[in-house]
Amino acid sequence: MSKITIPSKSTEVNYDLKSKIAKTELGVNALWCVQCGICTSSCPVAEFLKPHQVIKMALLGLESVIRSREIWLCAECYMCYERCPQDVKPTEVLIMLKNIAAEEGYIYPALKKLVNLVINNGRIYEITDFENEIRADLGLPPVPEVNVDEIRKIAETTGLDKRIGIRRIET
Amino acid sequence: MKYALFLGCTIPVRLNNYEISARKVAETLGIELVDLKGAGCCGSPALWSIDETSALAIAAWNISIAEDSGLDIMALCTGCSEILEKANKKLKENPQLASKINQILKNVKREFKGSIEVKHFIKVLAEDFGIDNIKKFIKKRFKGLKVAVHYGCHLLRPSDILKFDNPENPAVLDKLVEITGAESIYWPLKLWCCGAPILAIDEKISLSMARAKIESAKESGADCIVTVCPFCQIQLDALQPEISRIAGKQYNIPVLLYPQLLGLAMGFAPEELGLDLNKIPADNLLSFLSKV
Repeated sequence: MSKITIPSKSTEVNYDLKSKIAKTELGVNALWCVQCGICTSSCPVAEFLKPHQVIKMALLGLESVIRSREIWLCAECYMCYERCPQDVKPTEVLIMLKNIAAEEGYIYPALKKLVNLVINNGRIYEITDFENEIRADLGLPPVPEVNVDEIRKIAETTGLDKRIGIRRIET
Repeated sequence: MKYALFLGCTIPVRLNNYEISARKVAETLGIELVDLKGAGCCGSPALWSIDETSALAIAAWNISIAEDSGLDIMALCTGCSEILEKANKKLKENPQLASKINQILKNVKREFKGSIEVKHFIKVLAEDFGIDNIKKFIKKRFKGLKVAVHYGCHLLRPSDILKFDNPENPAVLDKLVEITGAESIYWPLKLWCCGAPILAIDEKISLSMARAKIESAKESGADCIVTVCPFCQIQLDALQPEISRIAGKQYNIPVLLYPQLLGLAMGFAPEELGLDLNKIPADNLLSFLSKV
């Protein structure tokens, strides 16, 4: 058994963060959380991430929650989402917290790389003649070309391209 | 039956075996697949967790490309089908959100209309084609083959969005496996996540999740694992040698994509289904096959 750890030493309240979360639909919904812990007992990474703690910290507006590594360990398996008796949708709360963290510049380098690939190639893996030759040998048709310009324009419009700067995530 | 085939990023590059076998099976059943021109990354669960609006916009952009063809989307990748279905449902149900996203798509002269459905391959087989109808195409049967069926999270969950089978006690994929004559066994970690989504975040934790699954399947007496998702397949098959190395023991449990298993029962030769492209050799499974 692993010992239960509090995600971070910091208990600093960020009131902007608190009100930001409180204004969202998921944030309002999360007030129904009774800390029963069914999410955590259903979580495949519960040894490292305790969704019920994260939800409580988020409601309190603790800054450390968006700087934590824990939120990025959620595999989004949606087991807690299915089981939450209060329909708090813990998976979606975690996704929202990751969105807020990213907005503040806390993004995992590996994820930044992935997003860069999507913006630059339109897909995570680039398709070159090499890939298409292998496919042809196997009797598969060439992969249709992505309209990359359109994906880039979408990323420009949403500000995604500018947003993917990195700040260090606490470990 | 005709669908717009959404290939996604990973399958056309890393899982030719999935694509070959799925195309073979679909062709045999008379399911016509039209390659979607111009489409790209689905929006990606990883991007969704960084910037929901961008992911939603890219998903809507992909859907609008398929809308031009008037065909429903069929995705082989469970990540793609979950993201596209989630976006499709959200935008259909929320006109305000749809108009916000369409404002973004205006710059690329596209519009999300909400006129089509998005379905995973397994959903198409089970619900649109029908399991009983597939039975007519079975030419060989697996006798005594014990299969650990791995649904993968996003075929089932979030269930209020995907609306497919029971998220905690599913049966559809088990039935699809059993029409080949194979037996779907009980294994404790059947519905557990394979760990793939966090492979890029923490390899150690991610692989330990896959290891737990492989051990659960092994201990339950499975001869092989069957998956329907490229990420689950990579995690359990392609990374199995690495997991064995870390564990200090050889698991050597073959991992098949569902259309490979079905294709064998339909009478295709292993190489026609890309079985030679699986990392863990699956040749020994052929000895379970006998004519109907």
